[in-house]
Amino acid sequence: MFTLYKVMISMLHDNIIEYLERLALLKFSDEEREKLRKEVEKIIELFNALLKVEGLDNVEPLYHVIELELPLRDDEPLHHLDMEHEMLKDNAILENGYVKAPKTVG
Amino acid sequence: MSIVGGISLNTPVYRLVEEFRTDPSKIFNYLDMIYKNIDRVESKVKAFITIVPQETLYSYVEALLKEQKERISSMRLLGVPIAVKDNISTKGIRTTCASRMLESYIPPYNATVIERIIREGGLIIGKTNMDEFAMGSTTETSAFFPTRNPWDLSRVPGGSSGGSAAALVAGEAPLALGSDTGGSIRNPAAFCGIYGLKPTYGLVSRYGLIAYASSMDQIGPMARNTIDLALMLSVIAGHDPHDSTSLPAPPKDYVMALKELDSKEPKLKIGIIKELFEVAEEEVRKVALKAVDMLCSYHECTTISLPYRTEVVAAYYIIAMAEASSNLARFDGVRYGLKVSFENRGWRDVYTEVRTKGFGYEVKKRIALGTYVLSVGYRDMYYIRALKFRRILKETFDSIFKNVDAVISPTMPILPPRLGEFAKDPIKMYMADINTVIANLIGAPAISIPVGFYNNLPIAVQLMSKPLTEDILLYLSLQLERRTGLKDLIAEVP
Repeated sequence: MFTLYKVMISMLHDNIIEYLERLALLKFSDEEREKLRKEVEKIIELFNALLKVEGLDNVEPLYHVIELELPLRDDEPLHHLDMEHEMLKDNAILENGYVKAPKTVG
Repeated sequence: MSIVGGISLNTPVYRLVEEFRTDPSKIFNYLDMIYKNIDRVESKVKAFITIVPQETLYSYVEALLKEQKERISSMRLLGVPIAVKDNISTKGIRTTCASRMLESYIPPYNATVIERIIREGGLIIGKTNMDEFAMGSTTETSAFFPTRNPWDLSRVPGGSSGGSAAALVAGEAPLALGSDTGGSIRNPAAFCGIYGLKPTYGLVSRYGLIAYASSMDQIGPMARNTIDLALMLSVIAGHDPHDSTSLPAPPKDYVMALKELDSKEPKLKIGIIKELFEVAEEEVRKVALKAVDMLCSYHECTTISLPYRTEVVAAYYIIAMAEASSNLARFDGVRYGLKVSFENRGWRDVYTEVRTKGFGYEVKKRIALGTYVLSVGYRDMYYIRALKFRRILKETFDSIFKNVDAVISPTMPILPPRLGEFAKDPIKMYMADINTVIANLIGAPAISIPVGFYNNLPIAVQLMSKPLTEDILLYLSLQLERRTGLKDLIAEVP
């Protein structure tokens, strides 16, 4: 399994920066790309240390150290700081009590 | 060092509060002293992103003394100026996370820890520099400027809560708050020669803490001595309905608990983690082993072995980056934060531009890699595997803590690096977190205690114990503090 992973990673490396940019919705400058290319390889190599750990197959992932049920509160409206989003007015575009977002279709 | 009315720059907080309760006018004398010192050292140390003006704090104290007259004699932090890391929301005070993204963001509410400090008469004196969004170990990834280590201005103060640690040891504030996701309180505490505690996950409310990796983030106290650390912990700890991961633990007076343990002096069992001493630089190891000797001359010590090294760091960074990539998605420029025009542009365009302009290199890198380890095909291979390993690590320590009360290691395996040294080799920077990330992965409390110097550079040990046994860590810290005499240190800034 470890070898297979290695192959997958090396296949990805050729255009990994473009792939990461697309996935994460951000861009790196030319200078950053050069640096990133070298660093990403080393970081993935670090991550790969985990691939060698044996006996993980039947272990349950530990998402959270407190494995308690999330507390639920009563379904009653609480006092809101700012129903009309007035606090966002310096930054957000407000229309009729809604926050305007960039268009999502078309 | 000048002494006014029995108070000097390095007077411990617990003493200050006694003085202020007896004679509240001393608060103003003390503030004078603090602001004068800030004027003298801040241009060299650069611990703060935002400093609350002296006049503002003066009027605040005047109003406090007038309006809350009946309560001041019971306020646990009366008149104490507190430096707060700039990722903790402060109502009306700019909170930037040391990022362009939030350069002009002023929170409309206080974090729960800030509310608790205010209720106890504490004063927010300023917001401290940090690595951008707490992603770093040197305070160099701040989008604004690096902070310098007051012991040696050519070196970093550690990070990510580097501004808070530097402010303490430069005498700019007697008490501070930091946050710790993989060592961000303990690392700068170690590099600056102060005390820092990462509490049990869930002991301190995260409400109002701008998230990095939510399953590991925890706010904690930073101070110049153990009792002050316990005092601050008593104020900020306790259940908060605003944080669904907050533990239902009743409030506890850690100063009382500490004093009680200290008077009974129980003999404890301490485990020395062999591998974490082996990976340390020789100078660090030597000094740290002296501290081990001090503790072991009284307590019962055994050597224990940890079968993992690189794996621990790998699991930590996979989980931290994955959670960061999700948490930082909220910075889309629509509601708050950096804004770009989005008239007639699609969301993909707008979000990409906001994130590209607003985040620095290290943050972008961690988001990108976090997205990568969560993406189809890699999720099981990296993210889920890291979480499985996390359980193994937790179980390993659960069984270690069946046999010992606490484990000891150096806090940092290295001395504070020079500015720019880590930027050349990020893997070296990540690997230096090996001793501290364990506590965050397993949710346990851990403390950093200064124990010596090498070439005028501080060296510290870390003690870690099972969840909700902070009092044990404080007790051992006080014992070490007495033996080393390293308390209330203020560095001579040239």
